[in-house]
Amino acid sequence: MTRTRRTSFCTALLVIMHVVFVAAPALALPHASALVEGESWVRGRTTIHVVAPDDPRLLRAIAAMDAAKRYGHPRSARELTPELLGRGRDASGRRLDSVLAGKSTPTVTTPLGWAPFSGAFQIDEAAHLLHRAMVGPRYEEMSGVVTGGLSATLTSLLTPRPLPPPPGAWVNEAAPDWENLTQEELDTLNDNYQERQQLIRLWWVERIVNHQTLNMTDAMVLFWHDHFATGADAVYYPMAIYGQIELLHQHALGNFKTLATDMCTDPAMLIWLNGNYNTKYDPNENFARELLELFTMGEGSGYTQEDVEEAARACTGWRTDGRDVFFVPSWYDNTNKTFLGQTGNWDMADLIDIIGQQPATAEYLCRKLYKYFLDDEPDPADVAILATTMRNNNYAIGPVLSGMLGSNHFFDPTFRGSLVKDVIDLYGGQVRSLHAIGFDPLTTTNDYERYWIDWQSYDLGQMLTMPPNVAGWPGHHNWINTATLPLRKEYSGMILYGNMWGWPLGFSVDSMAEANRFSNPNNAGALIDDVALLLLGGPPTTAVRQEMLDALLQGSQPNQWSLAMPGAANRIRDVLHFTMRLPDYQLK
Amino acid sequence: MKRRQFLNRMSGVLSGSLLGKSIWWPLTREALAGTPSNDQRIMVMIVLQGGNDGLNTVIPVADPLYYSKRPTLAVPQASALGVGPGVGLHPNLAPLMDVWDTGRMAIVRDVGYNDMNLSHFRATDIMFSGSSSNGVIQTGWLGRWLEANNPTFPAVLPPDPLALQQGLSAGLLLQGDRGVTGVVVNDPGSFYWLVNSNYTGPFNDATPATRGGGELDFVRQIDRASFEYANAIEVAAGAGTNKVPYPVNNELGDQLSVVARLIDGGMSTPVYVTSLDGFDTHAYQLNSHPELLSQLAQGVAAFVADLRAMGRFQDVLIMTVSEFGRRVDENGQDGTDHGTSAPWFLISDGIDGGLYGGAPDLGTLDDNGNIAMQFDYRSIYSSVLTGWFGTDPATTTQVLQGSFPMLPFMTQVGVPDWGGAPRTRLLPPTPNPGRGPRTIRFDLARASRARVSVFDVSGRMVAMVAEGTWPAGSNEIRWEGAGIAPGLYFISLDAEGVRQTQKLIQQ
Repeated sequence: MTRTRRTSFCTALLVIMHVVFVAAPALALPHASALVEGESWVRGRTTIHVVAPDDPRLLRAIAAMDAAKRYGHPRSARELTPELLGRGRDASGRRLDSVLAGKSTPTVTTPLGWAPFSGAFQIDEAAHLLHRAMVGPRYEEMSGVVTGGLSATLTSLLTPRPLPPPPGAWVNEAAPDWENLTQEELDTLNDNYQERQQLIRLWWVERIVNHQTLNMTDAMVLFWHDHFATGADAVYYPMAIYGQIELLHQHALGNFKTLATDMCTDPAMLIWLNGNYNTKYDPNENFARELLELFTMGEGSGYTQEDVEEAARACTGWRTDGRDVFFVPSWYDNTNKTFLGQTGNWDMADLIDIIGQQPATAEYLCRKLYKYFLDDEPDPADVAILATTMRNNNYAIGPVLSGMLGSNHFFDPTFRGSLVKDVIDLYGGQVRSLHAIGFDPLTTTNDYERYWIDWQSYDLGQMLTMPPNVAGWPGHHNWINTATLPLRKEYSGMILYGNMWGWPLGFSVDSMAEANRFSNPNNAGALIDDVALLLLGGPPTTAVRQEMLDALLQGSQPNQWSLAMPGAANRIRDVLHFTMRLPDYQLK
Repeated sequence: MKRRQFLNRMSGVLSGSLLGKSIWWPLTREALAGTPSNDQRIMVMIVLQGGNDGLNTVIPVADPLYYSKRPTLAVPQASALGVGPGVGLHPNLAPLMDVWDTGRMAIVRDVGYNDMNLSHFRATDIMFSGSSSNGVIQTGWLGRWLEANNPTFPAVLPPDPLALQQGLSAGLLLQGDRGVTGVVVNDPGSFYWLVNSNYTGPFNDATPATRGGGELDFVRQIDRASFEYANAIEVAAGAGTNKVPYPVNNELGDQLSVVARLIDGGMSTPVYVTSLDGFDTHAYQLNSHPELLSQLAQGVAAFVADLRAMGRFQDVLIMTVSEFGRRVDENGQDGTDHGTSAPWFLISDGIDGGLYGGAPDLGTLDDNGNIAMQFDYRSIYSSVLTGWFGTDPATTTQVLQGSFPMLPFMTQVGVPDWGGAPRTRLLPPTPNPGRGPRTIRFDLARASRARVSVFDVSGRMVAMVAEGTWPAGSNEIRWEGAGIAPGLYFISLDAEGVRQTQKLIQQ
């Protein structure tokens, strides 16, 4: 445990540890060599059956996977590339896109350390914190946490919260009986599945907008989804995709080793990375390779091709039918493997344990967390301290986040506006921040409300549940190029008018109501400053602020401004729209 | 350079006799010597994403190991399109046989680098950055080259974008030290409208000296580039037209049709990047790989026809790139896993086509069952930068962060005499088709031993034409051309470690 003299930090930490321990008990599966035919184990919505090779359920599952190929589903991990995204990571998993164009600002060349925040926690700090920890924070939440204070806010942000209701009862539906379906039934099933995949995406946006609280779970589920990037079009079964999201939610603020261990036998992951075709007779390396390269240690961190092959043997014996999981003891390589210098009859839980003993693992994960929540250019010494915290807490995530977000380092003014918003943050965040009325994509009969989500996701390059490949979304500068930036600006602001290229959206922002939430909306300057806090996360440059003011006043004098002015609602809307088309709006 | 300037320049050389668009055909490259023309040269890169299975693309049809290692996936010899002794192309590449037969396609076999990386992400970054297996370079080889050629970029933006990319994000390839040198535009018309209706800039005030200020600089730069280039692209796209139909339901064809229109419309952008995805065929390869090759061939064939109709084919170099090839042995799911070296294709009216490199040695693979490299990929980049674009070798070395020998297929048209090496190449035999004596001409970069021989389609040598030492420069030998049955053969020049082949038809 990190030695620190901060009482509040210790308190927060103990609270988190306690809650984590109670709230997310892991399914403790016995060792693979000890699993006995006839046993079954329940984990979330999945049942794990231990079976013989001739078990009829297993045979049905195998035949199903083969039959499903008639539809081209499921395939092995296929490289999806929405037109707008590319790749780019170096050996430590660091994205190689972080060279700034025309960089004239100093990079942080000395580590800042993690001393606890000792400044005044005012509205500027609150805005910065919530813009990073949440998706689309609201004005009253920012002013609310100023009152509550940093420590209480971190506690709230880092407390795991219960699962929201699923998008439909079909998430429990058994896998289809492929061989015995008629062609017509197959077609209907395929249509249903496609519709449910879309429902999952809509449900996800809806929960972020309508069910997110002062809590980091939603932000962390998005982080983990990018980390364990799994593609719905290859996995195909909506119950598997949904089940994986629940798994991410359950462990979002919990323990990484538990999450990783459960992920090894997650039905969606088994299909995605061919764990589903991995037997001792013909080991498949795909999952083992990505486990090391992308999910834990990072490429080039000291594991070898031999380690990948040995790890693949430890992963043998598992199958899924799209909802349930089958373990076949006679297909499991029940012999010794030598992995990262250690020899034993390792199963997947053992792999995670050994991986957890490698210094590279916590470094890799903490570096990703830093880049996702704080800044794109972490100093290795700072990452090393976070990694130590992670290791000292046996891979609990909460203490790392708490240490990071509760520090002087995090609140250093240099980092205001230093991250590029991803796509869900951009469109989901704006709906939530501006209290848009009537947003109900799951139940609406207005198709354009759903198209607004789907088209934007696709055009701007982040379709939830469909990452470009198993490395996730490259992120940061990759979100912004000459194709996406104009489109980001085009889409932003549609919710102010409830209109998308002439079509009604079915939901919109009440600009006047939004202004009424601000601290002093009858003062033009104060109104502009609050717009900046809400939409930009902080004050813009003097020149840009003046342009925002001009967009509000439109020629009239500042002292003439009040909410009672004729046309005030339209002016507020105009300044919101102007602000959302500033380059600054792309940052947080 | 705009089209009018180009025509004016050409009219001087031709003494005023313009024959319309077909003017470029009868001209030999030698006639243009002395006229610097590299500043209107264009390179169109096609990224085959996922790792193209080279062994099923350029097929060693005479090697029994190919068939024994790929019982399910191997392409039957009878189906392959013969391009050299024991070498055939996948039948779905048939639309490319026109450029092959007219000597406009170079196939470079087994391109890679030492200690090839088998991870998509790392391998793509290596190839886009031009690094070695262990190097980590945060800029792209094209980004660095474009910046070297445009020292005032991005403070001063040239009238047309330096590079235009479709199907991929900016990513690493076009990233320079000073900025992103390419624009990503999928549809010129909507791009113009989109940019202009949302532009609220320019924003020229100073940003704070913070990390956030630096990020704001980045977004503002993209904002400005979008605005300034939307107009240029709109003008070019409006002025240009496609002269031929493109294949339907073909994303690569769509991208290339846009490129063709922009070239026709006079855009001076020297680099276009397009892509085709789906080559990561770990399972059921026969369900997807042949179709992808079809899309590639049909898209490129239409593009070439379009360029010919515009009279620009000799200015455009088309190059395919893939991050790696695939393993020789098929896996248990009728697919192939990540491999190493693979063939690259280069197509232009301005290069010497042919087969560069020999057959892969399928009996001597590396520890992972992968094919040994024959050519370092940076040699191709070097050939593109110096040989195609005429960049001086010192700058090329700086851009590629090393010196890599060029391949002998680049035409040295109008390149200032910087002391570049002459080429080794085999010219098509004449007459061809023929029955009796043939004249075989070949150039050598330096005095060396060389052998000219004739092979049949399955790779058996049927005639040894000559073997000996020849001087540097042009050489000519005569072959009696008798004693072989009618049919398709390949005449090969083996010199300086490189084999080049030309088709020979015996009547």
